Amino acid sequence: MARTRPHYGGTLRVETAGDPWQHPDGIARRLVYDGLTQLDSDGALRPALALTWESDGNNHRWQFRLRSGVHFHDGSPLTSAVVVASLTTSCSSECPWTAVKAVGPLVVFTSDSPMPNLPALLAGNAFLIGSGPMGDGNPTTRQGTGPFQVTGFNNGVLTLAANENCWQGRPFVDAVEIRVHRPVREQWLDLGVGRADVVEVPAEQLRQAQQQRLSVLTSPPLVLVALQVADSGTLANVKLREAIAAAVDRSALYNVIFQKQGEITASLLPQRLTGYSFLFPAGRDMNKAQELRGGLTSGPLTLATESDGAMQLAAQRIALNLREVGFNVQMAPAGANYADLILRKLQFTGIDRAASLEQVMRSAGESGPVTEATPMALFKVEQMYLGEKKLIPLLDLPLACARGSRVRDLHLRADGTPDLADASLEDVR
Amino acid sequence: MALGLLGLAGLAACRAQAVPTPSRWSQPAADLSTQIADILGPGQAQVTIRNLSTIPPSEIPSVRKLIEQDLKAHGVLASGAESANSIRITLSENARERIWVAEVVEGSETHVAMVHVDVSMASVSTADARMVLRSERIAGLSIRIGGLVRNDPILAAAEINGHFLVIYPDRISIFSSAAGVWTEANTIMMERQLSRDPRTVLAANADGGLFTAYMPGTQCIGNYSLPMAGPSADSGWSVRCHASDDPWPVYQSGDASSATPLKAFYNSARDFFTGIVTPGIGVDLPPFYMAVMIPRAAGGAALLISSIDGNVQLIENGAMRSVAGTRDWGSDFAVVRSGCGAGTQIIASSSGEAENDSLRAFEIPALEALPASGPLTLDGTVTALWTAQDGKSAFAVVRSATAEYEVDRVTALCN
Amino acid sequence: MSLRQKLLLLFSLTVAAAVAAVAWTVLVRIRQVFEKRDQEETALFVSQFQREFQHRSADVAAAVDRIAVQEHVRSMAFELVQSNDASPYLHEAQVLAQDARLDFLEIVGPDGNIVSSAQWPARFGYPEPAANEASQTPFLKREEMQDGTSVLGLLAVRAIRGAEPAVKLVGGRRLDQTFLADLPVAPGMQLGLYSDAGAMNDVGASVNRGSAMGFDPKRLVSASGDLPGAVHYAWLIDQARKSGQQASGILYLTTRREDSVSATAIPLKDTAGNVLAVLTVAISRSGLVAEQQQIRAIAYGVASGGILLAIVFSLWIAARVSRPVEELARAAEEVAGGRWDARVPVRGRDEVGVLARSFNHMTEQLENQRERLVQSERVAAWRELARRLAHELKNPLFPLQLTVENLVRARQLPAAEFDEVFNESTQTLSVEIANLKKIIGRFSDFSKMPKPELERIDARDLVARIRALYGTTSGDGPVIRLETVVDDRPMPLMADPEMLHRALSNLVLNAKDAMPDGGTVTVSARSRDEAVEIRVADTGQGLTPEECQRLFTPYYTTKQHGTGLGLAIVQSVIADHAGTISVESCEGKGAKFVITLPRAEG
Repeated sequence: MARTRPHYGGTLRVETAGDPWQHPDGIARRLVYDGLTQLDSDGALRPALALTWESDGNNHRWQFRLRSGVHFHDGSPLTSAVVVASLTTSCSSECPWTAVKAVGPLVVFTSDSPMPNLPALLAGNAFLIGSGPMGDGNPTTRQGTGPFQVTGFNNGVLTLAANENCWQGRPFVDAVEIRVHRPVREQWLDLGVGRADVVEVPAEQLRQAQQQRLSVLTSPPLVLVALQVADSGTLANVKLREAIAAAVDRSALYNVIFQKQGEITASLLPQRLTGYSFLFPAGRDMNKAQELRGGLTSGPLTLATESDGAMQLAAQRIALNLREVGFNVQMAPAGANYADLILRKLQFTGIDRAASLEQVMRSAGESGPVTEATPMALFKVEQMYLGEKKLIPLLDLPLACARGSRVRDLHLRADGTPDLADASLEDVR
Repeated sequence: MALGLLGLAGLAACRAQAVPTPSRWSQPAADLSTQIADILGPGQAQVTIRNLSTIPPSEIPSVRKLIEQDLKAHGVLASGAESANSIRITLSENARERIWVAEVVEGSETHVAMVHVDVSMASVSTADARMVLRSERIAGLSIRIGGLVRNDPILAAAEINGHFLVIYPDRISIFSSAAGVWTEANTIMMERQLSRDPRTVLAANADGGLFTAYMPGTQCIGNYSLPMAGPSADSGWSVRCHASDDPWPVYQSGDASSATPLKAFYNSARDFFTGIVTPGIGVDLPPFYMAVMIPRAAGGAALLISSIDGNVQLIENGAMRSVAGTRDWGSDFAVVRSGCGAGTQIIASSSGEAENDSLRAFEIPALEALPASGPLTLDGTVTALWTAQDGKSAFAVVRSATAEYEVDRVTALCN
Repeated sequence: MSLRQKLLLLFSLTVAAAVAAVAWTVLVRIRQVFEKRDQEETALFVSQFQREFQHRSADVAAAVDRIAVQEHVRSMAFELVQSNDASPYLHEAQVLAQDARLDFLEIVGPDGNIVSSAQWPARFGYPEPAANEASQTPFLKREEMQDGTSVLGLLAVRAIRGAEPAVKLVGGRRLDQTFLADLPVAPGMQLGLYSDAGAMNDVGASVNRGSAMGFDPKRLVSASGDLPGAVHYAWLIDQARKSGQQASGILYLTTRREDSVSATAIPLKDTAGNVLAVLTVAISRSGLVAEQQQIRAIAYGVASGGILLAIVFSLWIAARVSRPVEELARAAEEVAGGRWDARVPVRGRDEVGVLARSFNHMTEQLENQRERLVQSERVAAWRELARRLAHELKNPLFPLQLTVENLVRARQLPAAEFDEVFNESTQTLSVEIANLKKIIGRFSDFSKMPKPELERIDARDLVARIRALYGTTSGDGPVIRLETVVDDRPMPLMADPEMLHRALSNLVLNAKDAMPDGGTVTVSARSRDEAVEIRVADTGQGLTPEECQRLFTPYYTTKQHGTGLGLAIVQSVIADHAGTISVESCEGKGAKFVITLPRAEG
């Protein structure tokens, strides 16, 4: 059907396998809160709660001017003091800035080291602005400026109502119901029988979703699956870490476990962003791995992963790969708070390479700023960092969701999440 | 990706292909060769080139030739596989630019050199049947800010007085034409419209010295005075905006005679017309998205509306009736006076099963919309469609799969 | 010990031995029967179990079969062969395994590599050698798991029909506690599974392999957890593991006999014949043992009752058999004691009756003979007495006659002469008359032996008195030495000391008389059983056997001037003291008189 104009009204029913308030990527957070800056669907930086921003010459100090006339759901105005309080709460350590304070209508960030990517970093989900508690507790007390406000949480369904006074305009739908902790399989069933409008499609099930002719929205690769290698204990030896890197079989992960979704990578940023990703060899080299290991015996290594499903399977596969070259790798028991190897998902958003690189490296635990801008310089940064083999990039995965037939104009945001505020429902009259 | 060299030179059919000129590649080839030579110094090396970019394979030999020439100029000679040194050149690209990478292998050492190359794209149009719709992209209307393409939705656009006025949710941009390329000459910022689906009607005076933009809750009036001499950014337009709930004008086809222009009240909170029109037409209209006055074959005019329930209704002689054959229509439509067939056609969007929308001309001799042309497939979905000032063509705002907005001028040509 | 006691003992022993022999035989037989029954039962259970196991195998095979013929599985195999892309089927095995309730399921592609694994999803792409298993029957295999352990599985291989080259399914179930719990068990039956499975590819793999042959009770599990008394299975399991054959035996789980089981260890082998695990089927013997014990208790009861009854019966039999004999014995004793008129009652006509009759007849005969003997002895004694009297009296009478004849003749002689002859003759006459008187006096003494007056004396005193009297030898005559040999212990006697002393004196004097050329008289006294033995021995000429026989006959003497009454008197005295006297002698080696007197009580 040709695009007709979107209808207002209706309730959009969304299902998620996770916690909607999960920091930082919970689905409800983006609906209720806004950031100082945002990325448009293309990944370009856009003003959000901050209208303009500027830095001193060397990026040590940034000031953000807030948009006027923005109110939280409870009617209280957005002020710089609230923003500072919110940022201080959401980032207590390892922040991109050293200090943040309110100066009149300005929010001023200062740091000892340059923060060239601060505006882009602030668009991330970790730095959303809310008034009052943003952590666990009664969800209805969460006050944001976003397109939806929380109205209740009953029987595992989080209900959000349209924010009539949203600074970005009232969303089309009147309400969003988020059914939480729903397994993906059941989400799909619900979608099939029309009980859900938007459901999750993990990357590894994308192919299946397409085979089932679900209406799938897929983002470009946005998630880096990487193996984080501890550099302590036996693994303090960089050769062992290199051996691990050479032993991992990315193609099996890509072809089978992740069902040929996304792309194989050995670089932090994807080819789409940099164009040089192919410079990092992603092949498996058993001989090199054997040689590097050189009969060095390492004690049993533990391997953990943050999530389940395909990541768990991928971790087991990696353990198998490493066993083949003589590493004794055991899966860390659930709930173990330390593992030598951690299979992680690191997300980068936006099209600003430097900012994305800084984002990935920050989530990998590297806190320094990325001040370089040219592809060559960024390549060198990546080369340097990856050379330590503390992080072994494996795959870049897309994010995806599937929508029901009554949902229209649903697009993915730059972070790969569906933009529910811009979606409308077909069958609303 | 929407930056191109294609001008708005004419409305003629143009299956335009951006023809690569050798000079496009010569600069990056020279830069890359310089970097390679800096690394390698004079000598022999095996040069291999692979293409990971969208550069057509047919162009690779010329790129190779360029690079080899430049290398030779720096004293690096391309040799066979027997050379100890090798240069592996990859023509790569990312979302924004092309990157040419050279991996210079000297023994076990590998050095990397990179240069970046700008990308440009071309557009396509299509034709068919008795009557043919042609679309022409109005290029240059995308704006680069700080190197990033801004993809704001385009709400309305009009070519007035040699300028192209484009209305975005938060600004009015005025583009001037220079050497066939539209460049932004002036931008008038506005309070951003508090709407998810903002609409604007841009009405221009016949003399072109004045325009009125009707926006939800706001009305802006533009005045044109001859610009001062010199390359000033000031295009000569001054725009004044004020809050307003006045009814918006309903487009009236030139041959649809009507005494007083019809105006409709707009609901700014829900982005549709309320159904109340002035002057009254004796029929209670449902809320609608779009209305146009069309001439009827029997003479006189009728009001064609797309109500928000998806029906297209024709109000004629005090009666409102549904129009058949409009199930697949989008919410917007335009009226064009082509001179072909019945003379006036309605252009509506539809998509069928396809991913992208297409436009098609229809005639409504009675109460059924009959296609008057083949479909014209666009590069995305139509977000807005209205009749151009001249009444002979229509403008369509197309949102591409990559969420870029472009304005296409759509013309109906007799076959 | 009396005959009755002997008989009683004999009977009792015989019966008891017989009963014991019967009881033992019965018990042994019962045990054999029970053991056989036990073995048969165990064998039955084991075979039942093996059948069940085969059923399970068949189930597994059937489950894999069912999967292999499923339409969408076949189309999957077809597509797999066509597209040569295994990736879409990564989770297929898990779904299929779940539906078929299999623990293991692997889809193995035409290249022999795993397409999808239910038990170890990450293992896709790796080869699965088990897929080459040609056998259609299920087999055992140790299946490596992703946590580094390996578990035992009962697996079957099936090719999915239609796909060429073959896509195979390797499916099966775990052989573990759940499997055990699923098997039907008879009451009192306990199944156990011993498996070397475990961390075979762990860090300590070599260590574990090293100890693989050692028995680890922790590896023996039952359906509900650890098998009680697992350690006791060690030898059985080891035997089964080493031999690869079924091994059976009885295991005592505690010191109590009831806590024993009849166990069979069945080795479970893979296709190469390696023992992967041992299945133990243990059947409790508590019921059996209880039954056995009950039967034993009954047997013991019956046996002891029988023995008791046998004793009572023996008592009766012994009494019945021994009474006539006892009566006979008593009568014989009476006869021996001189009561010749003793008779026994005659009962029945059996041998005892005959004996009794004969006895009565014999005593009658004896009495008659004794009567005759007494009479003839009395006549002989009288003859002897008359002979001796005549002999004794004849000796003095001959001088008297001569003297009287002298006197008659002397009357013709002068008076003086006559007087002289007369005086001489009267003197001779009075001597001879006195001689006659003396002879008559001795006969008179013999007839007037007094009754002994018993008092408690010690034989040592008796000997001491003899020694005091005859210890010193007089100057004239032959040199006779007296030696005494006496026990230190007291030798009490109830006796008349005077009479006994006179009797001993008599013997000592006799001994002296028997040694005219000198010698040694030895008097000894010693305790002998319930008697005291006093011996008087000389070193004289000794006696002939004939003399020995007649020695104690009155009036028999070997001496020229003896009356022959001395030894008769001695014998009379000893007899009066309830003792005996005997003589032992060899000619030329002296004679030894042995007096045996009953020892006084207390």
